[in-house]
Amino acid sequence: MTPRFWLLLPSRALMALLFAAPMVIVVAYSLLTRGAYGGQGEPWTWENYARLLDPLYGEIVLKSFWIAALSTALCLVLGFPLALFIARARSRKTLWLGLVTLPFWTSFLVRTYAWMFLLRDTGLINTILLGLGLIAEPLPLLYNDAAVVLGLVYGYLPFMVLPIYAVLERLDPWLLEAAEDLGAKPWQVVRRVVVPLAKPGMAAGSVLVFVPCLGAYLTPDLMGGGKSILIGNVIQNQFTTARDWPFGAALSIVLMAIVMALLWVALRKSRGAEGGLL
Amino acid sequence: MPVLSVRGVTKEFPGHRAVDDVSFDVEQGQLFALLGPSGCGKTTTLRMIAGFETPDAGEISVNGAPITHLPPYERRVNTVFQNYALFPHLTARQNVEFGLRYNRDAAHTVDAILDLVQMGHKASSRPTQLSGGEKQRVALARSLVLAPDVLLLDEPLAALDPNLRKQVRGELKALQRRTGVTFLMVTHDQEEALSMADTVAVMNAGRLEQVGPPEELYVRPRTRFVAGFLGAVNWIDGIGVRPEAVRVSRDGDLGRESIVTAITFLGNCVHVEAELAVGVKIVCEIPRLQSDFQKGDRIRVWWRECDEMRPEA
Amino acid sequence: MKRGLALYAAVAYAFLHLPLLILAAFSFNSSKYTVWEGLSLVWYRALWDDARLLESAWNSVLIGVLATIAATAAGTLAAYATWKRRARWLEGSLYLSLVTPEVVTGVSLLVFYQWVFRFLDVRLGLHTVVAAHIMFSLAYVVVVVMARLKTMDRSLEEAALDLGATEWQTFLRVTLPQLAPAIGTAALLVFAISFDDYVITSLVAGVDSETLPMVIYTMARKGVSPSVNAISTIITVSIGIMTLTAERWRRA
Repeated sequence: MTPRFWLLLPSRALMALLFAAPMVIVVAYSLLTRGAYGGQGEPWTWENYARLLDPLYGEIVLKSFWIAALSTALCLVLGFPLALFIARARSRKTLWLGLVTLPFWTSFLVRTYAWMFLLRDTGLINTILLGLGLIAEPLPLLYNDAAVVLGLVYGYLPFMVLPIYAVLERLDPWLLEAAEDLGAKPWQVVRRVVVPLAKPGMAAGSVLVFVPCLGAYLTPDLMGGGKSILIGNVIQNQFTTARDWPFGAALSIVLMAIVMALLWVALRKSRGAEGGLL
Repeated sequence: MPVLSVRGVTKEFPGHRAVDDVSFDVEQGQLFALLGPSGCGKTTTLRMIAGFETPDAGEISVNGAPITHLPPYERRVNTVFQNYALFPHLTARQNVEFGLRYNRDAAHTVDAILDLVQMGHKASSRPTQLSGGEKQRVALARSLVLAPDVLLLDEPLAALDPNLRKQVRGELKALQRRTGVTFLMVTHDQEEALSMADTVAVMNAGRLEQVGPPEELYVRPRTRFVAGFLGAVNWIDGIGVRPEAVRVSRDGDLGRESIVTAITFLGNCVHVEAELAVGVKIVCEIPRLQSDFQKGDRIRVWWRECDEMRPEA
Repeated sequence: MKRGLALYAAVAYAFLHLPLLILAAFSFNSSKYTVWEGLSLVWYRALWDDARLLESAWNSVLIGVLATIAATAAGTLAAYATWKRRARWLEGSLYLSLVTPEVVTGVSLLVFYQWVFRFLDVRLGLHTVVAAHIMFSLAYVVVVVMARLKTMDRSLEEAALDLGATEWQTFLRVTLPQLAPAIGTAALLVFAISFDDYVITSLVAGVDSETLPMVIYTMARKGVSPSVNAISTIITVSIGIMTLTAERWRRA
C-alpha cells in the first residue's frame, strides 16, 4: 500500500461510511412502505414519490422556492452596496470585512434567537412601542413568513457579500476612471460598469444563499413557529413526530435532486465566465 | 571517467517527446552549459538528472554508478532552483543546515560555506529579507555544503535584475573554479553559455545538436540551428558567414560588389546592410570607429575562407 | 455618492450587530421581562445552577474537541494527497456533502445508524454525534487547507527532496510549517461549526446526550427564560475571542 493510500484512507472511509452509504439507504427507504410501528419494510413501491404530486406538498415546495428566492433577492440588494463600500474603502478593509464575517462565526442559533428576542409579542420592539403608547396591542412580528425571510437574510447575508466583494476587489480601477473620463457620473458608473462586471460574484453569492435557504430548517422552525412550513420542516417532521420514514426519505431525495440540478446549471453558466463557484 | 554520463535518455509526455535520445558526458571540474530555446527539453533533462522525472529510456550515471531510477534524496546531485526555493520559515543558516541532517559525512562546515558565498553577515536573516542575488547565494551555499558530485543550476541568471547579471556571471564562474565542483547549468541565453561554460551542449526540440567548447560551436557549428542560435549569420549560397567576419572596403577588387541599403548604429559597432548585386542581402558588423559608410555607397565585401561555416544540417 | 454609501454601510452594520448587542445588554438585566430594571448578574449565576445546561455545554465542548482533532487531521492529509494527485471520488463526495442541506445529512445519518444498530448492540449517543460531526466538517478542512496548498511553491518540496529528505521528512519539515496557519484556521472552523450545530445533532443524538444548542433550542421555543440571553452572550463572546486570537496568531 502506497503512502498515498494511507493518507486518503481515513477521509475515504468516513465519506463512504457516513455519507455515501447513508444516501444509498435513504434511496432504498424511499421506495419502501411505512411499517406498522413507524419503521419501514416491504412492499417496494413508488407511492412515496407519488404522494409528492399532491397539491399540498406542491404548495410547500413552491413556497420554499418563493421564500428562498425572496431571501436571495433581498440579500443581493442589501449586500451589493455593502460589498461596494468595503471594496472602495481606502483603509482598514480587513476591519470592515471582519465586521461582516464576525457574526457568521458566532452561533447561528444564537443569532436566530436574538431576532426572536426582538420580535416576540413580549419582545423588545413591542415592549418599546407599547411603552411609548404607539400601539395598543403587540404587533405579530414573529411567527410568520416575513419573519422567516428576515431570519434567512440576516443569517446568509455574509455569503452574498463576500463573493461580490472578491470580484469588486479585483476590478480594474482604470475602467472606472475611463468611464468617468467619458462623462458618466458616479451613480451611472456603478450602474453601467461596476454592476455588469460584478455579475460572476453576484451569481456565486446567489447560489451560496439560495441553496441553504431552500433546505432551511432552523429558521422557519424558530422564526416561523410552525406556521411557516418549508420542505426542510416537513422532512424533519417525518423522522420525528409523523414517523413516516419512507416518505421523509423520498422528500429528501427530491430536495437533493433539486439542489443538484440548480448547482449543475450554475456551474455550467459559470464555466463560460471566469471565476466559477467555490 | 566522466563525473556525469547521460546515455540515450528519452522522455515522452502526452502529445510530444520532450527529450529524444540525448547523450553527453560531463568531465569533473567543468562548468557545463545545456543551452537551447524554451521548450527544447533542457529543463526536462536537468530534472531527470536531479531525479524529479524518470526517463522512459536511457541511463544516467554519476562516477560510473547508475542513478537513473534513484529518488532525488539518494543522489549525490544537488539543484539550485530558478526561484531558489529557500524555505521561508527558516533563516539563511538553517536553510544551509537543512541537508546536513541527511548527509552527516559532508565535508564542509556551514560557516565556511557561508563565508565562501559572502553571506556570513546575513546568516540569521529570513529569505523574505534578502535580495534576489543574496537568495541565490544562500541557495548555492545550501547545495555546496553537501559537496555534491554535480551541482545543477536551472537558469541561474533568469530571476536576477538585468544589470546584475554580468556581475553574477563572473561570480558564479569564480565560485565554480574555486570549489572545483562540477556545475551543470541550463540556460536559454547564448551569451551566458558562451562566456561561462567550458563545454556547451545545444539542444533543440528534444535533440542534442552539438556538444563542444564555446568557441568551437561558434566558429564551426555543425547545424544551421546551432549557427543561428549562437549568433547572427549571413547565409550566402549555402555558406554561412558571421557579420563580424565580413570585411568591407570602398575600393579594391576583393570579394563582391554591393550597395549599402541601411546603416544601423548600435553603440560600439555599426551594422552595414548591403545588397549584393545578385539580390541577396548581407549584414556586416564593423567597429564604430571604422565606419563612415552611408546609404547608397558602393562597397566591396569579402571574407576569409576559414571564416566560412558549412554545417552538415 | 460616497457619503450615501458610507451611511448605508453604517445602517447595514447596525442591522448585523445590533441584535446580538441588544441581547448581550439584556443578559445583564435584573428583570425577567423585556423592561430594563437594572444591572445584574443573576441570569449568569442561574446558568451555574442549571445542571442540564452545564452537562450539555460539557458535551458540546467534548464533541467539538474530538471532532476538531479527527476532522482536521484526516482533512489535512486528504488535502495534501489530493494536491499531489487528484482523487476524483473523494473530491466529488466532499463537494456534495457541502451542498447537501443539513436536514438531509441528519436524516440520512439517522437512517444509517438505525440500520447499523440491527447488527450491533449500540444506540444513539455521543459517539454517533461525534462521528456525524467529523463527517460533515471534513469538507471544510479540505477546502481551507487546499486553498493554502494551491498558493504554496511546489519547488520547496522538490528542494527538500533534492537535499536528502524523504517524502515524509519533507512533509514534516517543510510542508507542515507552511500549512500551520491554514490548519489552525480549519481547526477553529470545525470547532465553531460543531459547537453550533443543531439540526444534524438533534437527529442523531438520542436521549442521554444533549448538546448545548439542543438545550438552547428548547428554551428558545418556550420563549420565556432570560438565561438564554446569558448563555448566548457567553457563546458569542467566547467564539468571538477565539476567532480574533486566531487571527492575531495567524498574522504573527
